[in-house]
Amino acid sequence: MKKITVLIFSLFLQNLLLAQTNNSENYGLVTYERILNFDNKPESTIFSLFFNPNSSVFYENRKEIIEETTMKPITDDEFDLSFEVKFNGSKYIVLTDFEKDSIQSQVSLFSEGKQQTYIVQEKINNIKWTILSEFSTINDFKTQKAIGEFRGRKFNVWFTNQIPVKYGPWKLNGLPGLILEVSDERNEVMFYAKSIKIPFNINSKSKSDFEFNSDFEKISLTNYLNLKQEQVNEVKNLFISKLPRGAKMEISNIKSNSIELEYEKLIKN
Amino acid sequence: MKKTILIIALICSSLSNFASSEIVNENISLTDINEQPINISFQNPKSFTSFKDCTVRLDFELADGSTIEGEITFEDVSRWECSKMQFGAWWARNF
Repeated sequence: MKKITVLIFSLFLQNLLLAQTNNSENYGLVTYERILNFDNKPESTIFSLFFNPNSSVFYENRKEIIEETTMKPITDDEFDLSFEVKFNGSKYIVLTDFEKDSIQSQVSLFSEGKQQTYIVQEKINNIKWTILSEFSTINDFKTQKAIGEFRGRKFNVWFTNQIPVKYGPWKLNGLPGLILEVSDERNEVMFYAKSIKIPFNINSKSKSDFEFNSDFEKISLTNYLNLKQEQVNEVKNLFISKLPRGAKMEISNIKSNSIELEYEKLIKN
Repeated sequence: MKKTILIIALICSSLSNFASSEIVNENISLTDINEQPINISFQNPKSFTSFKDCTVRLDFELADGSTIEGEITFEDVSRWECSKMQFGAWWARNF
């Protein structure tokens, strides 16, 4: 009888330990470098991806929080002015929640004469990945290649089955292992994993309860796209206040670059 | 002799007439003459202020990595108005 009790107890303990180990392995922190190479001007930004069993938070690693937007003149010709508009006060954050089937992104725009931060809501877009029989090693991890199309770009990604979680950088997810490297066919969008901490300190569990600032207005992706199109108009309105009534003006040469090039029919409608 | 006296009298008369017309024109003072072109210039301010199209180029960098470029051209504005927009944007850093 004693033997059976010891056996049952040891089995229970083993299961408990195994469950805990599995659980902790579902918490991780990955650092990625994002390179955007629009118009042959590469820009690098460091992001972190924190994940738990149900959700991931992809956020910009920027320390300074200055609630301002700078509008810096870059030429001083009296009739030919150029301005760089940067939204310094807001970090780009993407929260992917598989339980709620939702992606929420924190973005800032110039609206009604000031910087406004919004939470853009959309559904998880299930990317149809094709897993190829190509293998490689990235930072001692055995990786496999997959290709998939998302919002107008064809992405080549390398994922590892050694970390069996469905997460990846930005809005890319749904493979059987963690995505370590991403590049698109145009060589404009790239992500590279720089460091991986798994299991991540379980004390940071609080991060899994990540919530956006409730003061920020929640808007749909369609609304966000409309607001984005109005950015130049918004600045035009700021200048109108400095001119006499009836001043004539014209907007021209609008050009934009974005990671997302096309949107699904559902969003367009 | 009579003829000589008549000619001298005519010359004297014409000289006196010339002198008399000079006295009439004395009413126009030197000050008035100098002010005249300044008054004209103020009636036509465009001759001193240049009016041109003012082009403002904008280069947005959004948090999600998107960039937007655009140009706003303000038609026929003065150098002062164009500068106002430049300084306005320079100082109005907090929107």
